[in-house]
Amino acid sequence: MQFDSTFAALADPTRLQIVARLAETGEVDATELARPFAISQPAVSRHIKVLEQAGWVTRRRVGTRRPVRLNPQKVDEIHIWTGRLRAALAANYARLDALLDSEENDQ
Amino acid sequence: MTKMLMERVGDTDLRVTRRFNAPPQAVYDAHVQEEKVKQWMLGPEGWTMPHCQVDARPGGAFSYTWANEDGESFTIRGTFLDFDPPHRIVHEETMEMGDQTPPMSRVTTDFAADAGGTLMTMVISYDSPEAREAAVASGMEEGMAFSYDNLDRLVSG
Repeated sequence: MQFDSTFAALADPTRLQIVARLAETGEVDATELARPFAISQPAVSRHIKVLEQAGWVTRRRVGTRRPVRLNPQKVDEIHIWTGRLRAALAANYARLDALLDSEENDQ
Repeated sequence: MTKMLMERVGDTDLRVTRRFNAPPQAVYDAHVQEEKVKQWMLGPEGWTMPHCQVDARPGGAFSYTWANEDGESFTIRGTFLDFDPPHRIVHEETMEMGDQTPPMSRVTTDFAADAGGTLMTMVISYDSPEAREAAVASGMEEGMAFSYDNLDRLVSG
């Protein structure tokens, strides 16, 4: 996974909101996405392109429409990555517990 | 290729400068004649302008609608306020956003003869610093630069 582009794409409050909104609403048109943010259509189009390039959203063609949806694989990738972080932390604490136990036994 | 420059001036203004390889009259005409506007004001890249209406008289209205192949579109509309051909156009404009449509910004565009070409200086005055930043965030710099490249080819051809 390209973590740089993954997290860089979210490092913008509007894009973070777009991702949060897509998680709630499922697939929507870009026009619908522009509405709650008080930002212009070309600005939303640019944000969607950044999210698309980073793999956060996918678009399909329905006639003349190109609805946008969150890419569940990307959410899974983040979930797996944070899971590994948690596992690494848990392993550290397990070693710390073992160390503390052995020190206690020494006394 | 001459490049467009966009700078923030003061708290609420943007200044856009661009040199063209054609005299002021040609550049001026391309801004007020609907048939010419349609041929160059196409940016950002990937967008077309299926609707273009220009009534170049003091108090006359104009509207431009851009669309892309993803089925998205946006409209800028406004009113011409003053003309001094071929040196100056003053107008006001805003981007249509339903009930979120921002207040009109006031735009003064000057065309000065410059070594056989034209130096265009456009000053856009927004209602507030926030309105200016929202406009910058829309990608207008990229869109305008792309359109002016088209204009340069149109008038110098």
